[in-house]
Amino acid sequence: MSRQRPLWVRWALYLVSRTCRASRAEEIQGDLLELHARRSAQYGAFRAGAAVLWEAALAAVGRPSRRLLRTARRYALALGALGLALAYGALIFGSPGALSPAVVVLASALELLFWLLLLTEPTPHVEARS
Amino acid sequence: MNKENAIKERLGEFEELILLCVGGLGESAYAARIQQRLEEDVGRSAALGAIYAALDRLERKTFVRSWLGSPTAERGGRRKRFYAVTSGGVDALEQLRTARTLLWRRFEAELAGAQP
Repeated sequence: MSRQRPLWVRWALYLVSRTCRASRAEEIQGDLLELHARRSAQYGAFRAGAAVLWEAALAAVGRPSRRLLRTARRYALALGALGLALAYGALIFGSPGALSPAVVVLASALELLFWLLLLTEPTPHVEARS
Repeated sequence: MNKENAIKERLGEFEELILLCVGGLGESAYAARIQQRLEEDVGRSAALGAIYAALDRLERKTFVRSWLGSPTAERGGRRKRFYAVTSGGVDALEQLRTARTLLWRRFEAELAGAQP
């Protein structure tokens, strides 16, 4: 039975099984199979397979991805703060030419990242919606 | 549901649509059917992920309850999660409809008054 399923649908089911907890994966996979049957009748096999894979990606990573983004943002902020410290440390304590240009460029890039992330802090409205 | 709760547990437009679909589907409300109904009756395409998220929110707000059904062959032996509207959900929908009806009446009266 499963061998008869198109490759994209099998990928979709695999993706869900790897990213969702078992009970949730079971219902999502079932819904995806029903959706595939419906989309196949509407669009044809290829588009239906692609649609199901896209739906699987959204359903599987939709919620964890927000957590992932928040964690990534936290790490990026910490990295940016390090760059900020390095850049100003070099400016205050370093003698000209003491740091290699690559380090200065890296520190400046990290500083830019820091300010960018700090200034684009999600508003309470956006947080509430998510 | 008291007024404070009604304000705290406000229904979004998408949640309202989902809740109405769940109510309209009776005993056979599950995500894939809700998605199909949204497409057919409302002309709105929504990703399954968005529907799961809305259903999770509605369940947290106690506007729907859910249970797992039996495995079916059409879904490769996988079970469905069924949803049903709770009395709190019905109250929330009715409050929303009352408010909308009132606002529509006022809007229509204003439109009629503005006619030359």
